[in-house]
Amino acid sequence: MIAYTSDFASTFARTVYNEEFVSVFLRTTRVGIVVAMLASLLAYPLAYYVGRSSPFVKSFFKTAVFIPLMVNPLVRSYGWIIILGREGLLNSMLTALRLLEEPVRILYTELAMELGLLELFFPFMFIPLLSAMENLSEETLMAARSLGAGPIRTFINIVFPLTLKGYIVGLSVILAGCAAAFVTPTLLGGFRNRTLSMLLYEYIDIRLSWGAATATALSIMLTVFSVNILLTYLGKVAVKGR
Amino acid sequence: MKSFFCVLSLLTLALLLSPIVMPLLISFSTFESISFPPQGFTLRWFANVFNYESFMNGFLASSSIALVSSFSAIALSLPSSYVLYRHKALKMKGLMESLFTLPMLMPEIVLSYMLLLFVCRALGVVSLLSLIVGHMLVVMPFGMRVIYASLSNLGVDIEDASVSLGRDRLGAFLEVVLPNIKHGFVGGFLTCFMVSFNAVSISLFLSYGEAVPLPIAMLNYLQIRYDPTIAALSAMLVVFTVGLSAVVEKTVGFVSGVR
Amino acid sequence: MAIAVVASASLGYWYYVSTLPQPPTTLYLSHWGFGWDDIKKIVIEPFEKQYNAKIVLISGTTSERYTKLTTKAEPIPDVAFFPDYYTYMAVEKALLMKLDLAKMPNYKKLFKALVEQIPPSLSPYGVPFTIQDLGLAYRTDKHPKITSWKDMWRDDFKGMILMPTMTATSGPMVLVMTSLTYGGTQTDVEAGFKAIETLKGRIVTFYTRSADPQTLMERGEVELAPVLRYNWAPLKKLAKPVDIIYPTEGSVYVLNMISIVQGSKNTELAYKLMDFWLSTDIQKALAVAGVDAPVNSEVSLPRDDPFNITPVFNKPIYLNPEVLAKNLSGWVDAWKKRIES
Repeated sequence: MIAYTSDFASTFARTVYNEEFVSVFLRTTRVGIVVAMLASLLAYPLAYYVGRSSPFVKSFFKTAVFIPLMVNPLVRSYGWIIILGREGLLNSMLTALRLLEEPVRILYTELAMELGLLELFFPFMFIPLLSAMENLSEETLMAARSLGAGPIRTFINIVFPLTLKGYIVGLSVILAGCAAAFVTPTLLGGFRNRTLSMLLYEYIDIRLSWGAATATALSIMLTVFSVNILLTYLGKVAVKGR
Repeated sequence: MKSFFCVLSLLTLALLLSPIVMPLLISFSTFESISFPPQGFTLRWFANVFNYESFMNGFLASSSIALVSSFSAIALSLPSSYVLYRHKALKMKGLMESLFTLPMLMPEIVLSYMLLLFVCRALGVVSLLSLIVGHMLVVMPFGMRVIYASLSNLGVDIEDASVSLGRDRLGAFLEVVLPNIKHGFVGGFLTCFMVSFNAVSISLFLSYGEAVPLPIAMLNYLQIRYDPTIAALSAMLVVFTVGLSAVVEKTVGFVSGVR
Repeated sequence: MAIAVVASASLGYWYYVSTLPQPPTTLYLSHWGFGWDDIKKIVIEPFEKQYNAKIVLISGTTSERYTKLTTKAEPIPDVAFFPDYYTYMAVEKALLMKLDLAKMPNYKKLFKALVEQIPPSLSPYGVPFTIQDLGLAYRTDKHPKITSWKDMWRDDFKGMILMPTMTATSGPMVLVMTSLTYGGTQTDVEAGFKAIETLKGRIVTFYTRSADPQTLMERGEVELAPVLRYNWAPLKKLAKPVDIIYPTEGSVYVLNMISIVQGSKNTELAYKLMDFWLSTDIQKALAVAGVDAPVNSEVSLPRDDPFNITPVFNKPIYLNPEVLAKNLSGWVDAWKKRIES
């Protein structure tokens, strides 16, 4: 038993403490953070607006945001390939509008992965934020305004703390999801931009290295769990402080 | 201000929905490659989808696997949700709750790998059963959540009332609780079905020779060809899953029930 | 009375059953699946008819199918198609059956020059059915002519190069070719690694799937790619103008082999399929359809037909499967770390 554990420990060390793994890990983190940031920037204002609109608008957005979740990630990535390719929608439009002289490479870069993951996980950020925004009472906001707070202060001191719980839920789903997503990064980023989950697949199906695969799987799990725990803790602290 | 929000919403909607709409547009193109803009109009690729045996088999395989795993997941979630719900004071409740939702927190790919390791490698069993069990594990938390939510909405009172009026526990359950959570039941089943139908990672690792699930059949097709048949198939899948979720919405109002 | 009825009924039934056609024997094939439409028409359907067989295809990339073979994933194929160095790896793991070459008369018709190169540790376990030699495909409308392997390093190809992963059939071939071009050998590929490292920033992505070179060329994502012979026909069919050259440094090639998997219960039928695949008519039909180049020396193709492989004999460089098999996992790891990161 001890021999087994120590043997595994050395495999783990060998897999993790090398340049390749570190660069893949950094990339995965980078992608996760970028997607989380983009999602926050997009979701917050939208949730704020929708959360205080008519029920019709609310249910419209809820449905619109929900539909992509029901579609296979393979299909969605395929759609992105059509949009982001060198001769795809985006490039054709931009060159037709003379905004670009020549088509630009988007596909097979980290950016393409991030866009795909953003589309994949945006609903998971939007929906919790939306419910949080719905619970925001109009009176609180009016009170703040009547006390002279500008929009930025209102946001920092009132909106953000009150919606923090929802935001943290969204963040944890996004970060965990980006570490674990497989189909989207593979199709949109290619083998040059590997993430942890792609590395795991590689070790199993291509490099046939079960020890390294287990080490990678463990790393993914540890990362996801620690991110979750960290965010939950931050959430509790922030709420207490208010 | 209003216009800013309008622009923002349009942008977001474009972001979310364009990848789903794109395959639909391309699927009618006569052009054999998948570039934009599409040219011409043909239904050839749709016909191709039906002609390709792997896709038809894949659809059947995915649907059957989804049916079986959803059914078993619901069958297991129902009693577990019920127990969790009834015995609120149960000390282990928090732990049990986390245990049941664990597969959802765990990345699907890690779950598939662990199954691969423990079931296939250790026991030397690579069979349809491991694939179904895998799907069931992935799908169960979703089912549990929906059923648990509808149980909570129901409240214990009705059941207690019927017991106090003389019905025994099991009868009360069957006659009072079940009919009232019918919506949750159906909604949960359909949600499980869709999650299983769309699950890629787990099918990738555990796929059993002849029963190739549809997403894997699609990936295999991309191995050997590159024409818009995939776009046509994607378009059909979109219609299928969106239609199914509309049915869920009608029966259960799942969207409004989310968080 | 009752006994008479039962007796005559059972006799009648027995007679009926004996005249029923024999159910076809099912044969499981592990093959890439590439070009299967043509293969089905040319090889599979006539074979099924002639020998009362039913062929079931298990498709996938080389490495996927090899993994399945090693983990004994069901359904276990009867007949397996692999590049020769993967066949060798399977032989080392005792996964393949030793063949009785006398059972395949068409074997004698294969090019002696090719057959003699196969190491004796490998030849009893697989029969070559086609040759995969390495060429360079490029967009003729966007780039001036290329003639040498070193043209890959030309500046006009910056950011438009496609490379295989090391587990694609062409992967090790690209590495060895580069190594030989830059002064290394088949076994010592350090020169190859160093040269490709200088190319890193110019590579778009790495492909694993058989159809990727033509897909990416078609979509304009890449304009230069090392390709194998099976990419020839699809590349020529693209809307974009593409040409494939065989570099002046030589033709690096491997042989694709058919083998019978250990434990197969339909060996007789398997032998018949392999012999069928090697027959002159079938080999010629496959070449004409643009599926696989023939290794049967009796196939006559016009000189300028792309599938006439005699040009390969100008400067053939056969990659020794033993060498490839031994080094593969080390190269895969190094490739991933040094090139794909």
